[in-house]
Amino acid sequence: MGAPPPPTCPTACSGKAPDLTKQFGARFARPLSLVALVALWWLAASLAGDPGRLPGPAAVVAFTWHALASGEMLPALLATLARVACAFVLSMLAGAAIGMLAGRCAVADRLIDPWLVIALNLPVLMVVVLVYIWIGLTEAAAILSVCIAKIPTVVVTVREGARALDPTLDELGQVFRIPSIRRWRAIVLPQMAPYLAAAARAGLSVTWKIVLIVELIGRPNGVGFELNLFFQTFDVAGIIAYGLVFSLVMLAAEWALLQPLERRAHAWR
Amino acid sequence: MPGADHLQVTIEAKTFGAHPVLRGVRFSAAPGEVLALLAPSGTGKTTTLRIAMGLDQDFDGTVQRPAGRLATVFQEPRLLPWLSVAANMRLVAPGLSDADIAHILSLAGLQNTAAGMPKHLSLGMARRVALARALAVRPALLVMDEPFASLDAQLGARLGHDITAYARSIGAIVLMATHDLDQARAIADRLLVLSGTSPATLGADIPSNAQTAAELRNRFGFLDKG
Repeated sequence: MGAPPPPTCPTACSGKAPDLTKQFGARFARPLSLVALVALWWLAASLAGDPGRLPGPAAVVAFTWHALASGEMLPALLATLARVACAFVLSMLAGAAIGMLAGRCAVADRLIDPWLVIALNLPVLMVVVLVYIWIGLTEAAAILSVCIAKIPTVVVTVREGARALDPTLDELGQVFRIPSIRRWRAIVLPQMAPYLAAAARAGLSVTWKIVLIVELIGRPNGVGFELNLFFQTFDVAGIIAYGLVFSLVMLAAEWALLQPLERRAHAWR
Repeated sequence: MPGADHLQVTIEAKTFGAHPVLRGVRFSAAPGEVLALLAPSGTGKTTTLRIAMGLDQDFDGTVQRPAGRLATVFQEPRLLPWLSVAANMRLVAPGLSDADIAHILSLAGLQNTAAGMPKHLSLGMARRVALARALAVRPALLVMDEPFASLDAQLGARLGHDITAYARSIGAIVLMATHDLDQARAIADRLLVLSGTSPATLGADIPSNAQTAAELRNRFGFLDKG
């Protein structure tokens, strides 16, 4: 039996052309993809021919510019940002503590696990509505319902990290009688850092989306509240403008805060 | 009756599940004494050391350790990869100055490594850092599991001599598992030999020069190699 014929792909497999293609792809693929998305949006808006139902990119940009310049949008952004920050920090703290406990103590894990399975599968909307009914339409209820929805995902990630802690390093701390605080700081936290960073990064995107729901249902301000107002007046440009701007704020937070932390957590590798 | 500054290990029985590992292993050591523990592979050397260190408390017997710091050199270096060599040493002995660290590293045959990261060290160098880390706490009891195993013979012999000399100078008790009879006879005060039986028992607890190497090899077949 003869050898199979070599593949024939003269432009893609050899020479300088593929290098250029790769470089071009690496540099321009993402921006081009975004441009294509905006173009598609523009095309769809033009074809629809109903700016009230589907405004084009220019109309949304104009709306956003006006809302930012007049100062209408800023209070809503700040209110939502404050809720996201508060719920995020509380969820990370509680989730990390419960996750560590579950990962380090088998009995605690067995006790926590069924709760976790249920909590992970609860519809967020149901949690939000029930907490508002039981506690009232308050700030505390809003933050609490976001935390209830968010904590289980942090627990799962941190529990994995706690299970993966190296027991031989525990023994090192034990034999050399390294004090607990130093043991946590120098031995445990560096091992947990990649898991905490992953939980934070995944957590932020979930948190802000839940915060919008919470605001839409039961808060008197914030991006979610504004989206509700725009919904009632069928102001699609407003809905897209507020939603997009807040997405950009969250992307910026991830880029400026979480990605550097994640890089630091992995630096020693 | 040994004093409070002595090490006294009494292992009446140690089992792993239904499998007996050690029986009737009893020994003690005075400050400044160096004990070499010899045994066939897989017969309980590491288990004896873990019991002596307090890492294994699931056994029938008692261990009395001297007051003061305990230090160990595990079979694998167990350096924290995210800390520099100096930071690994300061983790167990926070008060060390740069000069202290350089001096202790030189005892372990290392120069200019304090600022390095463990991932850039060979296994032999990492083990020597682990030795230096153990010495850094000025231990009352130093437990070492095959500490010179991945070093060349000449370096291993020199380090064995230097480190036990240092340990004696600070009055530390050294309990060291090794497979190297010649080195054990050269640097230890006493040899503890576990029998190759199951469960292992203490076949000999003798001064290191009480018998020649040939006599010991003749008595304990597993010491044959080398």
